[in-house]
Amino acid sequence: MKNFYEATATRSELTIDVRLILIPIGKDIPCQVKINDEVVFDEPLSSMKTIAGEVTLIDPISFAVKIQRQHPQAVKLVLAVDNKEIIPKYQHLAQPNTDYLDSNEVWTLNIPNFYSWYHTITGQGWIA
Amino acid sequence: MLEKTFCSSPWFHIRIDSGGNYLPCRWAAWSEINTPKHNNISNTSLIGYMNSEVMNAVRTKMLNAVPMKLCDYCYNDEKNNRVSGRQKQLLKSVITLDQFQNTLCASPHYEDFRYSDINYGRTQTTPVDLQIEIGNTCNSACIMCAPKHSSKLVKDYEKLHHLDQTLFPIYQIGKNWTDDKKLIEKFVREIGELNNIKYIHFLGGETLYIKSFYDICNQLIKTGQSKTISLGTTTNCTVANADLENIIRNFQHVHLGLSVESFHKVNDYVRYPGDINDITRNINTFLKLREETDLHLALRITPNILTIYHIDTVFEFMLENKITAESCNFLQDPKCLRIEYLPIDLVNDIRSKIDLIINKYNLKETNQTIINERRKDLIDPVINQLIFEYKHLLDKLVEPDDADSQRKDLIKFLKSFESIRKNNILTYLPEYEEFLRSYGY
Repeated sequence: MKNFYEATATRSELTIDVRLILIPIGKDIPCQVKINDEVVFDEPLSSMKTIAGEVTLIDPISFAVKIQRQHPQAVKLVLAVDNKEIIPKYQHLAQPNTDYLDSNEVWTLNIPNFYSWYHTITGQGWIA
Repeated sequence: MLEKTFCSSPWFHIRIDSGGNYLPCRWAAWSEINTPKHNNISNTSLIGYMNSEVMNAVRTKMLNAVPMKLCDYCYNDEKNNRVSGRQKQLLKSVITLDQFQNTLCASPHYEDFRYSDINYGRTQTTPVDLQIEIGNTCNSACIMCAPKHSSKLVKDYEKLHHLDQTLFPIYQIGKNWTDDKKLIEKFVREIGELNNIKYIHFLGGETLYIKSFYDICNQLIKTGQSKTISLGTTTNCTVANADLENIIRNFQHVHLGLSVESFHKVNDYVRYPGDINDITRNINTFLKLREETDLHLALRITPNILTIYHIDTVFEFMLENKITAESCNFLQDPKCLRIEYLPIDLVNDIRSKIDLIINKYNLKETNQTIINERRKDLIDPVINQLIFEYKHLLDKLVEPDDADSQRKDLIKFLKSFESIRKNNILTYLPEYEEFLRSYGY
């Protein structure tokens, strides 16, 4: 970028990578994944599934994972955003606060602005 | 390229020098500071300075990737792979150099930058980070310091001026803005009106030796503003008193920078008339206070040709006491005290001593670059980073072309001070005898 004006021209097109890995414990577990309210996966899960995509840089990011499990089925989650580990490392910020789904409650994680959020959760210091 | 020069600091930080002059940045080069056009605390408010001609011009240049002499200090640090003030300020806007475009565009300050871009550099932001210089009153006369920072050196330089007018220029003593009680009241009132100051860093002289430091802090405690403000200052560790403890306990957070060059008696020669035993005792007092409060401690070291020889004592103290060091620059002025004028055999001695420390504590170099060196969870990696940084800087030292003349100036410089202090460098650094004698000591 030669100057700030160039940044304004490209800002709305900038994206960051999202990579969500679903690891089933058990077979044929119905599973639905929404990213920013859009269904990106909705089928029975029997083997590890990686959902990779891009989201816009400046918008909030929401994740929702819902399974319909039979005991003792479960799904383990691994999430990276912008190649940074988010789940399981910061699973305490999800609702419920786990990386291991063993109930039919919807698992959600909401990120308002990724870089500011990540700055705060990783203890990078105060924002002016 | 924007990522080489852009800094977000002018959107939230300003500095006031000891004369009350406003300046754009705590890292600004001194040559820029002495320009005559400055706004002063006596005629301009903190918020007024944010939209002054100077600050609007600085922001406009930032947004248009125009390099500024004002920023040379940071450019130089980055050229030498050191963490710069710019990087530290960018981090407060959540901008990192490794992902500059994305983090700039996602910054919580993006709209502030945009506003300035279309409004000739003006801003709607208010300062949240201040550096306040309260005068040059000091109880020390460190040889590497300058009269503008030490009232004691003013007197020494007056005595030594006739020996060498270049090495010991006469300093015109200006009035400290903090001598005016009305200006202190104005300053505290404005901070209250702004209501969003997060950090104030005070500089002297010796801050803890200056009454106005306590006056300002106690007023901020009285108004309750201290509870939301982090306070920082740097001390020569000759003062530790109950008033300071009260300040530490009443501000949201206190950061104390401890100026020490070496845990060896050579510190007494350089930081005259300090006594390393007293200084160590006071540092231990601060370390105890750290256990009881939210006090953050860091050493502030600026090694020179004399103190670099015992830098290993500093590293050992850091490792033993879990205390980091920051803003650690090799000294630039007086030029004859720069470490690059040290002969290679003495440099090799130092490198060997650093290697001993590295082996003793089993330190391993990492690729991690830590920008915020005040993180409590990263004390060990920050110490580690610093030790390897020094190791590499010493490895890369090249003897300058003017080594002979600067070494002769060094002898003249030391002998001049010794003529009024009645001391002798060889008492403190016998290892330097051959080197110093060969240049006329």
